[in-house]
This record gives sequence, C-alpha cells and structure tokens, in this order.
Amino acid sequence: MRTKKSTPYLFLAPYLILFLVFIVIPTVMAIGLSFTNYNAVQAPQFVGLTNYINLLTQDTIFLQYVLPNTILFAVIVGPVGYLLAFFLAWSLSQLTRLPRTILALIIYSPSMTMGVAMTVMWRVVFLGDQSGIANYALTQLGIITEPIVWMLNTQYIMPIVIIVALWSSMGVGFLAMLAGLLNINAELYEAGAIDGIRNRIQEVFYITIPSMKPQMLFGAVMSVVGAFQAGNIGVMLTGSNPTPQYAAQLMVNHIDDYGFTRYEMGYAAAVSVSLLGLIYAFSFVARKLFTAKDE
Amino acid sequence: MRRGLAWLAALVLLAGCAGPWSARAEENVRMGRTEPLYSQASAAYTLPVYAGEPVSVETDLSVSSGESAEVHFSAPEDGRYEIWLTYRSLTQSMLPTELIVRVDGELPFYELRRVKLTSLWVTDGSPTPTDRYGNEIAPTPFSAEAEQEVGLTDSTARIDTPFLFELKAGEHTLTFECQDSGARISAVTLKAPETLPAYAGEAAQGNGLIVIEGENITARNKSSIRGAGEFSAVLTPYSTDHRVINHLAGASFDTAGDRVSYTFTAEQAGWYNLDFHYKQTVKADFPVFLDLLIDGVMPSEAAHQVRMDYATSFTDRTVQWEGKPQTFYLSEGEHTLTLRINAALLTPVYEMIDRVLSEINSLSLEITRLSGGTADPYRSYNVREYIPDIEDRLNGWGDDCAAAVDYIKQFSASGSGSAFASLTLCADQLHRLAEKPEDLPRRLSELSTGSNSASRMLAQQLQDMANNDLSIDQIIFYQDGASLPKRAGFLASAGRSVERFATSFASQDYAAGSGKNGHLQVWMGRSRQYVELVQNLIDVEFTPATGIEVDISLMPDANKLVLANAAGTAPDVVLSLQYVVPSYLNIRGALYDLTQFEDFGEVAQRFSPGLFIPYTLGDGVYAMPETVNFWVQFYRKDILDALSIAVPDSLEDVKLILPELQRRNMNFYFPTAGMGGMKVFPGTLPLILQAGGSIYADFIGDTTLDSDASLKGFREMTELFTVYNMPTDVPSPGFYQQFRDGTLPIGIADLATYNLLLNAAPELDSLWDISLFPGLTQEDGSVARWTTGGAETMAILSQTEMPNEAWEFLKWWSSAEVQAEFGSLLQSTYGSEYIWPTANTEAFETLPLRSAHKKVIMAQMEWMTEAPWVLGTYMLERELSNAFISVIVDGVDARRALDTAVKRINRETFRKLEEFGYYKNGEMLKPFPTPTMDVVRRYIDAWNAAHPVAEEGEQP
Repeated sequence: MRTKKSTPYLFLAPYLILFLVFIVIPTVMAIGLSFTNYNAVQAPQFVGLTNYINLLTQDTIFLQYVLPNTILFAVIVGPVGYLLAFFLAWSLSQLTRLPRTILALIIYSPSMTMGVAMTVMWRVVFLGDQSGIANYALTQLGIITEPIVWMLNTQYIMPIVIIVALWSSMGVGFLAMLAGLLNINAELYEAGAIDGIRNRIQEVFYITIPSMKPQMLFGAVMSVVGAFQAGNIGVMLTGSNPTPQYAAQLMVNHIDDYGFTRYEMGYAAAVSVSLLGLIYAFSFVARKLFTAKDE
Repeated sequence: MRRGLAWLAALVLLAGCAGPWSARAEENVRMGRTEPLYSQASAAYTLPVYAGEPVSVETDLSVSSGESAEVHFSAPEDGRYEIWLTYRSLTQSMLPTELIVRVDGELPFYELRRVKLTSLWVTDGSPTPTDRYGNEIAPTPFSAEAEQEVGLTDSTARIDTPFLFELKAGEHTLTFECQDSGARISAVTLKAPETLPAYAGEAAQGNGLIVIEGENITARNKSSIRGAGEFSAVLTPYSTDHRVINHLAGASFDTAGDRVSYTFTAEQAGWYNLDFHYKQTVKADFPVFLDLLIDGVMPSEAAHQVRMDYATSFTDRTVQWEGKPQTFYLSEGEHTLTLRINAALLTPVYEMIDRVLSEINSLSLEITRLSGGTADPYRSYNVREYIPDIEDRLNGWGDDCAAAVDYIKQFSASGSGSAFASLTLCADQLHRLAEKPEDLPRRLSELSTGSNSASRMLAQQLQDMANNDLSIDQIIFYQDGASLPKRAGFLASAGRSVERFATSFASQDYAAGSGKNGHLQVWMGRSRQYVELVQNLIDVEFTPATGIEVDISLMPDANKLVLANAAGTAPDVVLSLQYVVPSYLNIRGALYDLTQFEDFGEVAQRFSPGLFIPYTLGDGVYAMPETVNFWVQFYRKDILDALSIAVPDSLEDVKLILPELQRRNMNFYFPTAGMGGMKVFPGTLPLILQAGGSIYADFIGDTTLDSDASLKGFREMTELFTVYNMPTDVPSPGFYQQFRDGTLPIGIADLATYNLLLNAAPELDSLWDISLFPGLTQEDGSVARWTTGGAETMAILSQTEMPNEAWEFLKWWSSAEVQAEFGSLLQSTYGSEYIWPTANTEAFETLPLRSAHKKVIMAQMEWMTEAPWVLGTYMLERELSNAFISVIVDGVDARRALDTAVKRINRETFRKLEEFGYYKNGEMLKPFPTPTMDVVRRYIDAWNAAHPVAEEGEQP
C-alpha cells in the first residue's frame, strides 16, 4: 500500500516550522542586518559592505584582542577538550557498568551546572584577597606571599577562563563518544588481535576510531561550536563586560558589546556572520577528517 | 524550676562577665565608652530598693533637636528608683525622640546616651484602602497626640525593665539633651519597681470565644509595623483574586521592644485560654519571647516572656504555663491586649559575644604586632613568651561560647539550639587554636580576619540574634467549651493554589503594556513596593488635582525600554532610569527635549545644576535627576580614638595616618577596590576632578584625560595603591564586613554602605560616624571634594502623544513636597532601610535621616557634580578603568597607560561622530561642544530674569 506523499511532511512539519522560525529566518535577518547601520531606535540604513570593511581594517580591539583570544581559546579548548573527552570516554568504556555510569554522570555534570558552579565555586576559588582558595593554597605552600588579584591581572584571566572552559567541556559530545565506544562490535577487536595488532594504542587507531566516525564527527562539531560560543565565562568570573583590558574578550562578547552597549546592531550582525563563517570553516575541516568514505 | 535554673545560669554568666573593675574599665575604653554599662553600674548599687508610693513632679518642658532642658525633683529617701516620664511627641516624624539624660549633670551609665521616646502610631479606623487593582494596601499610620507614661528604659530593649537609679534623699536635677525629633514632657515620676504577682489562673469554663485579627492593629510604637497580605489558604481573610491584608507582617514586627496593641470586647466575664495562629521562622528551634499585657498591665509572672516556638508555617498554639494552658481573666466590656517582643533572656549571650568579640580583636592586634604584619609561614613564633596567658584566653572564650550554648539549649523545644550553631562551631575553633598557640600568627585568619574566622561567626550571630520576626494571623481568647476556628486542610489549600495559578494568567497588575489608552503611561525602574506607593500617591493627590490619569508599570530593565521604543510601544514617561541611559537615547532622538517647556527654568532650580550635565546635548536638556548617590568618608570612632588618630580631612592627612594603620594590619578603603573588573566613574573620577582635570576639552573629540591636571589626579589615585599599599581588591561582602570587624576602620563609600551600616550592623551602633570626602588640597590651602552624584533620572519619551500632561506629571513628581512626602512615606511604611535619596535639595533636608549624618551629607552634596556623558563616553569609562588596572596591577607607567587610553577613546568618539553625521572625511559638519552646567544655568537665569522674586511689601 503506497503511503500518501504528504504524511512524512506532516510529521516533519512541527520541527520544520520551529526550525524555520527560530533558526533559519533569524540567520537570514542577521545577514541582512549586517549590511546596514541599525541602532535599535531608528530604522536601519543600508550601507553595503562598510561593516565588514570596518571589521577588518578599523576595529583595533577586534584584531588586537578579540580575534587572537578567540583563536587561542578555540584551538586550546576545542581540540584539547575534544581529546580529553575522547580519552575519558575511552577510559570509562573499559570499566564495568555501575562505576561507569556514576563516573559518567560526575564528568557530565559540570556542563549542566555552569551558572551555579560559576558563582558557588570558581569565583570563590579565584577571589582576589587572601580568603580565596587559590590564594590561600599558594600562600600555604609558600609560593606567593601576597594574594594575587586573579580577576584584574590580565595575564591570568585568559588561562583561568581556559581552565574553566576545559572543566566544563565534557558535554553532549562526551556522551555521544561514550555511546559510540560501547557500541563497537567486540569481534573486531578479536579479529584485530589475530591479525597482529600488538598494543592498545594501535587498537585505538586502527579499530576504535574508524568504527565510530559518526560519533567523532558529532563530538568534533559540538566541541567547535561550544568553543566559539563560550564567551560567558570571562564575564561571569570578572563580573564586568568587557573583561579588563579585553583579556578574555571573545567574539561572542564583542558581539554583545557592540549590540547592547554601543547600540550598533548592524555591526554586531556583521561580526556574528563572520563568527558563523569561522565556525563553518572549522566544522568543514572536522567533516573532512571524520566522514566515512562510503557516506 | 527550669526558670530558676535559667536565671542561675544567667547570673553565673553575668558574674563571669563582671570581673575586676579595672578590666571592665579597660574594656569600656576599648569600646569607645567612658561610662560603665548599666549592668556593671547596677551591680555596684548598695542602697535598698524603694518600695513606697510614686512621687511625681509636674513640669512643662519642650525639647527639640539640639535643645536642652532640665527639671528639679526631690527623692523622699535613699534608694533605687525607676524614673518615668509622661510625654507627648511634638512632631510627626517617624524617628523617635532621642535624648541624652543626665542625673545631676552626670551620666551614671552608658545607655543614657541613647534614650528613645517613641510615639504611638494609630490609624483612623476607616476601611482599608485598596489600590486601583483592588489589592488592599496597609493604611499609613499617623502619630497619635496622646500622652504616654513610660519608664526610662534601654533603647535596645536588652533590659526589659526600666532602669533603676540610685538616688540619695534630697534634691536632684534631671537634664534632657535632645538629639533628634522633639517631645513635650509634662511630668517626671519616681516609682518603685513593679513586682509581678504570682500566677493564679483558674480553669477557663464556659464557651466564650473572642477572635482578634492580627492585622487589625489599634496602636503600635513604630510606624513601620504593619499588616501584609499573603496568598495562603490557612489565613483569614483570604481572597484568590486580590491580595487582602490578612496577617501582622513578621518582617515589620521583628525587633525587641516592638509593641502592638489590639482592642477587643469580651461579652462574658471569665477566665479565657489564649491561642495564637502564628508563624516564626527566624530562630531555628528557638523561641521568640512575647510579653502580654492586658489593659496595659502584665497580669502575672506567667505573661512575662511567653514562648512563641519555632513554627515554619502558620500553626495554632495555646499559651502555656507549667505544662497547662495559661488563663487570663477578662471582665465584661472592652479591653486592650498589648504584645511586646522581649529578647532580654538573650542579653547574657549578647553581652558575652560582645565582650569576646572585642577581646578577640585586641588579641588579634597583639599578635599582628608580634609577628609584624604578615606572618612568615616558615617560622614558628614563641607566642607564649610574649603573651603567657594565650591558651587560657582562647580556652576561656571557647568555654564561654559553650556555656552560652548550654544556656540556650534549655529554651529550645527539641534541646538542640540550632539557631546558635555558630557558637558551637566557634567554641570548637577556639579550642583548636588553643592547642597550638605557636601557629596562631600564621592561622590568624581563623581567629579574626578570615571569612570563616571566629570573630566573623560571632558578629554574624549578633546580627542574627537581633531578628525576632513574628507573623500573627489571629489571636483567640477561648474558653474550654468553645472550639477554635477550623483551618483549611490540605485539599482546600491545594484547591486554592490551583485557583491562584489560574488567576495569574489574567491581567497582571503593574505589568508594562497593561495600561489604558488616554492614560499617561509611566514606567518606573523600581520594585513593586515602590511602584505601589507611587501609584497610590498619584491616585490620591495628582489625578484629583489635575484630572490626568496615570498608569504606572514595572520596568524590569532599561533594555526593554529600547526595544519597546523600536516596537512603537514605548511609554510616555520613564522614572528611575539609570543616569547613563538618557545619553544613549537622546542622541538617537528617543527623548523629549525638556527645555521646550516654558517653565523648565523654574523646575531646574530644584536640583544641583551639576547633575544635569549627562543629560545635556547641544542646547537641549533631555532628563532630570531623580535620586542622587553620595560618597562620604566612614570611620570607626572607637578604633581611631584607641590609636589616637585624628579623622583625616584631606588626602594628605590620609597618607599620614596610613603607617599607624598598616602597622596593625589595618588599612584605608578606596572605593575602586569594591568595583570588580570595571572601575566606573564614581570611583575613578573624583581625584581627577579634584586635581583640576577633566575628561573632555571644549570639543568632545579631544579628550583631556592626558592633560597635566588629569594626569596629576590619576597619578595621585594610582599611587594610593602602588606606593601607599591600599587594598586593590576587596571582594564581597566588602568594605561593610571589614569595617565591622575592624580591618578597614576607615574608608570612602556610598549610600549603599551607609544603609548597610545603619541597619545591618547592630554591634556598631554608636561607634562609627561619617565625614566629608578627604579630597586633594589645592594651592590656596583649601580642600576640593568633588565627587560624582548621579543615580537615577526621569524623562519624557519623544514618541509621546501627551507631552504637556507628561510635563505636568514630572513637575508634580519632582516638586519638593511630593519628594519629601514620598521619602518619609517610604521609610515609615517599610522601615528605615528604604532611604529615598531625592535629588531635590529642598526635599532632602526634610528626609527622616539622623540629623548629624544629614548635615555631613548635605555639606558633601555641595561638591556633587557629574561628568559629561556623550558619544563614546562609555569607551572613556572603560579605557580609564583599563588604564587604572594596568597601572596598579600590571605595573605599567601612568602616562603610557593614559596615552593608550586616549588614542582609543578619541578613535571611538570620531567613529560615533561619523555615525551620527557630525563628522565626515576629516571635516566637522556640525559642532559638538562638551556639555557643561552653563546650558542649564542659562535657562535658570532666563526664567529668573523674566520672573523676579517679589521683595517684601512690593507688588507681586
């Protein structure tokens, strides 16, 4: 019996409508706004490519602080976070069921409790006077004698933000990779052992990774997107937007700054379109690496 | 029996406190007192207690703030007397009359420095007013003219009976020096102390039932004690759609000494049981004590300190005495029931904590003197050699804390006393520290300076002890034959909650956008409590007088205003808008130019002209100031006196006292330390302005942040941190907490800290004061004290269709009468924490603040100004903050940091000038002069020239 052509579309309709309204249309609008000057009070004025030209030539803060910070952050938190997630998932897949579940929950929870964890834990650890845990521990060990004001010192803010981001990067990608690891056919390992694989490392590279390419791709894309979107950490830690001397200013903060502090929505839209392009480029690379040949 | 033990334990504690006299005297000096405490003075009384008839002296004294008066009287015999005053309050001020009372020219004990004579606050019995949405509002009480006879008592109510004075037979003089408000004293009476009769209640037979609603207060002794409405089905009365006042609010009936009275009629004479339907959530597992007075007299010792145990939700509890319900005799007719919160049982604990706190602080000072400031972690100090009794001291304090916990446990229903858990923790911590005294210099943060230190825990305990919140729904006199009203069960409450949930989807009160057409739409950036009061004020005063209907809505944040403007649904008027927002809106044409109104010049005179600078653009002024923020110097009188340091008047004086402070591990607080990563203008600008610098030249494209004068001010500021070692970062809880525990005994802070210290630091009651900002000394020797003062503003939006009505409203709202009325209404309704720092200079003078403080604040307001906020000023604030941080934290040279900042600021300003059409391709198309006070002054002068003020006897 042939099903009517319209039934699949009917099932897809709710999701498609929401996707259209909340993701596609705003993106198109943002691209449209990026060619205008719009200050949220008066009507937008069309200016062509001025915003993009300004972004690349006039915006010193962007070129001096934001772009390097973002690239640095993305390169460290992205791949390192990804490798960390893979390593942890792989270690957990070696355990039996109960310890694995518990540990997976523990490792996954930081990414869920971001806001609460921030105020309760990280701010207290990095308080600027001698009552902060980091200052206290370092003073006890004798490494420093005067407390370091972590959140004002430009050379410490970025490393702290990276540490916090890594700590919270075990998110959905981690879970996907864990699931992928657990679903690999055990017979492949036995076949490999027969065929001459000598140690675990070879096993990982020749059997494990090729078998879970889809999950690796998913994890990579999530990692890239998350790394580029994580502007909030710096703001929450230092309590000010932008962070002192733009030390933890990422592209997302830059967009926020231009959009809501300076009322230049058109320019902010242009920056966000550039961010979109950057993320797309990185995920393109990820796709090239992880797509199985027969897909 | 238990009560006897309680008093025994209290006496033991007190005896332990009352050590050798010299130690007491020393402690008093340390606490800034030159007289002994009442508990110490009365312990030394020798004369017998007077037991005769009251002796009265008629007089007719009126004392107002700053005046003194005296009265002569004679005591019939040697003995101890209570002194009672018959008085009536002279003003309607919500502040009680404060007196210093001297006997024969001397102060026999310290508490006589702060005697408060409270007024009785009553309502006129008209039906409860409702706001325009049908919710009931607690009626505003007014001070009754009635005379009261009250004994001289402790104003903090730690002692619940009137003071006993030791007087020899013969003539004596009583002098009253008034510090605040005013009263008319008509008689002074010497009385014998009252002895309470023993309890002699009988069984309550009969079926009489008298129900008193907790919110129907007849009289109260503090104007802010009021009823409140809660949507809980167990309370009566209850309505699902509107909020009705149904209980006495515990948040307002919370301090020892608070009194409320209820009038009721008893149909049948007889003995009655007494039941309270109440809630007590502040003292976990510990009761709040109430004194019960029927017709102004405590019927028996059983009505003294009745226990209101811990109850997390409203419950019915009958008053007990020795395991059985306590009964009261009521004759037929009208009676008054008075409830008075009594915390005197906790006084021994309070005094113990007070004493231990000050002793810990002095030990802490001794140890820092020993270790020289920062303790070397690799050294162990031979503390015992310098302070031989240190173990005994620490163990003694630990034992004191443990004894206090034992004392407390007898009152708690389950015997655990968890409301005072920190005392147990403190005792453990002190004992642990006593085990290894050599480590004490290194572990000082566990004793006194850290956030988990013993002294912080004790200070927090002191503060928590002052909370005695008691919410009462109903008070029921019933006899054994009558049954108590049924309370809503679980199902009924659940049903009501569902109903409530459904109604919450109907129209929302005060929601933006819910106003009607034709009404003036006003958005106010404040909480619901303020908005309700303002709406009420408008409905009662403004609308009848002008016929203009006004709808006020809550404005969650300023961004909503921008978005609403873009959507075309903006209001007509906006109030309490943060002072930097108008500058973003006026350049984009979103605000209405107020100078277009004829009488702008008259209205502008109500405020300090410097405050208009951020709202000026070209020749137009786009907003008016509503509230101000003041910055003054706070200092601990007791600590500065103990160290013999004079209060600094200028920044140079501050630098001179720093060595004395820092030698003892104390310091001076400069407000940028509490500002986190972004140091806003109120922190960074004052010293620049005082050095004669400015942020813009005549044209905004040229920032003068790097001029010589500005650089000098900037250097002065950064050197405070780089050279003079003031703290760079004082994270929350910040200056307030460190001011309390003495590590930052002096510093500069604003209204928020003033409010905290006034209302949330009970142990510091009279130990601190404020003085003017210590500014930079100028060449001619005077001290400049310029600070920024902007806080909130009011403006009209340009999209409005009713500009004239909007201007009428703003004129009314900013007038001195309305601002003064709102300020005192706010404080008298919600309590003294709700300070309204109005920008209207005339109204500020009448605010119910302490006169001594008000004088300082008004003097500081003469130095209040503001910086121009124009295109790109946000960048200036940001870069100035960055430059400041890079100098004090990263060690960059000041001039270099400012140069980098100036480059970025100018670049941003020109970008903005180009965006708004002032500048293109290197040429200025339109001028953009820096706004100054002159623009506003011009309008004021023009108005004054056109409307000269009539001289006496001339034609108007």
